[in-house]
Amino acid sequence: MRPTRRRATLVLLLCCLLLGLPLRVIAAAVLVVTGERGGAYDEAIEALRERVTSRANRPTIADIDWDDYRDAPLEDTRIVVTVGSQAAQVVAQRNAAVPVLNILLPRAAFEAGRHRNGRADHSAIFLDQPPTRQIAAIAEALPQWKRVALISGPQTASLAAELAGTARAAGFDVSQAEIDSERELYAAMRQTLPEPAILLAVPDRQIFNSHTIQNILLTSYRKHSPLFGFSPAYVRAGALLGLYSTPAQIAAQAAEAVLAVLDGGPLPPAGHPEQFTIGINATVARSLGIELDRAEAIAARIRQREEAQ
Amino acid sequence: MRLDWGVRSRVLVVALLPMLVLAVLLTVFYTTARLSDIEEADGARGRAFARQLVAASEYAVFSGNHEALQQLTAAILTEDGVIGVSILGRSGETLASSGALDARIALPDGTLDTGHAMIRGTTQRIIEPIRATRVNIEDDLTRAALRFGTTADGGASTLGNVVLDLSRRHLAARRNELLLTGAATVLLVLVATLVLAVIMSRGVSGPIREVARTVERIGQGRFSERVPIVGGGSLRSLAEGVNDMAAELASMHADMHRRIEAATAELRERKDEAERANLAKSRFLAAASHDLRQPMHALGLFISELSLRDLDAPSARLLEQISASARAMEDLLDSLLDISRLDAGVLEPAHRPFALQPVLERVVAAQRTATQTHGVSLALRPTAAWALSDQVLFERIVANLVSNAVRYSPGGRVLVACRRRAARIRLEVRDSGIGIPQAAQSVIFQEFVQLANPERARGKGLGLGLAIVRRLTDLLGHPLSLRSAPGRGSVFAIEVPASTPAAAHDALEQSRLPGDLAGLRVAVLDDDPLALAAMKGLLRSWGCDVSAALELQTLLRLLAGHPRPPQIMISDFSLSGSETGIGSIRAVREAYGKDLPAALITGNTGADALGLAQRAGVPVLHKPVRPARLRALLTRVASDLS
Repeated sequence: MRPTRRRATLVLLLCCLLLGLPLRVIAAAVLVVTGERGGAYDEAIEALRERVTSRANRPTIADIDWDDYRDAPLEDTRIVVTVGSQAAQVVAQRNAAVPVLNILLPRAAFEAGRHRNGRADHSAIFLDQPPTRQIAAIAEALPQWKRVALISGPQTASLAAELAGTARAAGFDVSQAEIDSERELYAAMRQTLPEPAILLAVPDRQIFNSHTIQNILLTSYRKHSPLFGFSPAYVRAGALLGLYSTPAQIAAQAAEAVLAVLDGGPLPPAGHPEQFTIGINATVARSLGIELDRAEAIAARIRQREEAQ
Repeated sequence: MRLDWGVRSRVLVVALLPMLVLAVLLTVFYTTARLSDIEEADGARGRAFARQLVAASEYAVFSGNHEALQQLTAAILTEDGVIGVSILGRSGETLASSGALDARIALPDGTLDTGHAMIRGTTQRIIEPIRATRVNIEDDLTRAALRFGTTADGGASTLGNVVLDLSRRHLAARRNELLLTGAATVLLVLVATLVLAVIMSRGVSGPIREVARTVERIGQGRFSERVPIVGGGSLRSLAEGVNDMAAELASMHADMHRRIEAATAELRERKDEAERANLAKSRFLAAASHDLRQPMHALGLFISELSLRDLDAPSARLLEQISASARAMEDLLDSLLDISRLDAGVLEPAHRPFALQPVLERVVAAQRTATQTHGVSLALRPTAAWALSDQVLFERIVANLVSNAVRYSPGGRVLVACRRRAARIRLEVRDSGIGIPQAAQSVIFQEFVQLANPERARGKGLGLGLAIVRRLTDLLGHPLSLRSAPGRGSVFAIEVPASTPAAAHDALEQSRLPGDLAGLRVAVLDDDPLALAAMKGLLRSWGCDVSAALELQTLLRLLAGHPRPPQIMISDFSLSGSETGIGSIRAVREAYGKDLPAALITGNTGADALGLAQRAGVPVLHKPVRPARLRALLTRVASDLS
């Protein structure tokens, strides 16, 4: 089915080029706008398309680049879904009278955009996990560990403060350091890890990047302190645990919101993803001599805890 | 340029030169390649050290563990060739250092993000960045989460630098070692090649040298030499060519040898023939003169004896004419005898100083009769010169020349004149005679040549005069010259060494008259009764006491029966039967003392007879013996005895 359609699109595009006509987007109820292509984005778009088109009345769905979005006709469009921060920004700038749902963007990015528009029919599903869930994950996965270390940069200071607060509220001992440059990293780690603690990674590229991660992991290992990451890549690199939502999980949540709008309902408010995944690096666990539950079990306990609240 | 090189040298050059070039090129190439390999390996080793240090020091740099870094640098310093190592931080500050870095090379300002290698003098410096190990944690999802609110990248990945100094001193040593090894190898290969080339060149040049040697031997005349045929191609053609050439040469040589042999044999035969003819002539002359002389000898003796008697006037005139005829005949015989003697080479000239004038006067006086006969005006220009020569032979020369001139200038004039020329005297005999054509001037000195006497009239002589003159001047060493033209007369001239009147008394003694021979005891032996009788008569007329016999036994008997022993013995050379004059003299000497003076008389002018007499120490008188000569001999004996 899919190859045939793709071929048809290709033929149409070729015809349009031959006739010198402006490229027109086929009128669709759901318009997916994306700026980036790649594994996670494509995965999210495909998952969304599958979910939406699986409905009995088969709503139409199309995806375009954010470049084309600026002039695209939106007469038949019932909802616009943006994938990634870049697309979200472009769509917000056009400010069309169509409900918009942003996915695969950090909360900080959405909040900056919403301040600009201030529209109610503009919602989002954030990429980052809520601090409570993170702390809950730590508590559920490593019930014996009561210490949390946080190292942040100037741009992630507020996030770190929020996390620290949540952790303290959950009964954790928090040691925190804010640094201006990577050079201070080792000193900060020595300062925050005088004794074994769970080092909570924040999405700050200045501190946690591909070049520093090896030394961070080495240092934390020497300090007998496991790293808690926010993506599967962290878990592959050597973090003990990872808490994240997969593109499919986010897309599923997004599909529900889209279908609700198509059914005439309102957009759900912007928020963190409902579904998530716990990643575990068993080798690191063995090296650190830490025994962990299965990831699913931990995730289940977190969900129970969230449902109980 | 042409090189005079032999086969062997050429072979050696052909073998050695490419080898040498190849060896040098290979040595240079491999030494360079090897050095470059070593250098590269050295660099790689240095980089390996540096990277090892980089890998090991990453976390220590990250964590600022100076102690660990110091341990790492110390460990690297123990490696061979490492002279200094430092680990620099992000700002170029030294975190750890071991050994001493080369101060001539400046350290980098800040961090270098890429590896550097530099060579300064004997130091190789390697700088490697210490990079944080990259572990990818940025998948799409992470990037999406980071997209907003954080900086774009996590800062520089380079934590610092490792600086490593390596010594290159061992490279120089290695290069020298390589060059030395290369040179030694080249030398060895060259020597081996040389030996091989020499051995090989023998194979090539050997046959050629063999050819050369054979050719040399052929050149020395050994035509039987042949080159052994070795190998094929050009060598074979060469050898065969040389052999063919040798064969051809041998055949030519043999042919030429045969011809020379034939020519030589013919020449020898001719020479032998000529010698035989000459010998026959000499024998004939000797025999003829001997046979003629015997009766002449006797005749002379008889005339002498007769002249001592008192004769009447007509008889005395007759005797005078007989005597003149006999003298003329004697002269002729003397001439023949002279030629024989001169040809025999037994005449020994006795050079003495003498005055020319008396000699010339005597010659002129002797020609008086002839001048009157031919109506010739003969003049002598007076001279006071002295000459050094054999007076008798000189007088003979002049006499012959004058007699010749008189004979060939009938009604003309003849002048004898001397002229001094430095240390020589030139004697000229000029005549106004018929002259001698140029063509005949060389033949007139031969025997029996008479230009103006085809009918061989006896009155014109025998034709021996000039032959004798030529022989005598040659013997005496007096240059003889002739200037003449037909109808314009002739000038014969001889040159003799000039002298001084120092030995005048010798000349006087020569001309002294014979002394008294009375009572001299003489033994005479001759097988010719006529000659014996004549001799006996003559000797007795001189007052000698003579014992004469025809044979030795008779003589010995006569002597034995005489109260006085003989004082001198005179014997004929050839006697009848088996006796000889020399043998007889020996026999008489055995009886009367070996110092007994003796003389031989012979008509035989052959060199054999004269040689025998000379060896026996006996003087020889030739027949016909002139009474004056015989008397002179006896006088000398008598004076010796007294």
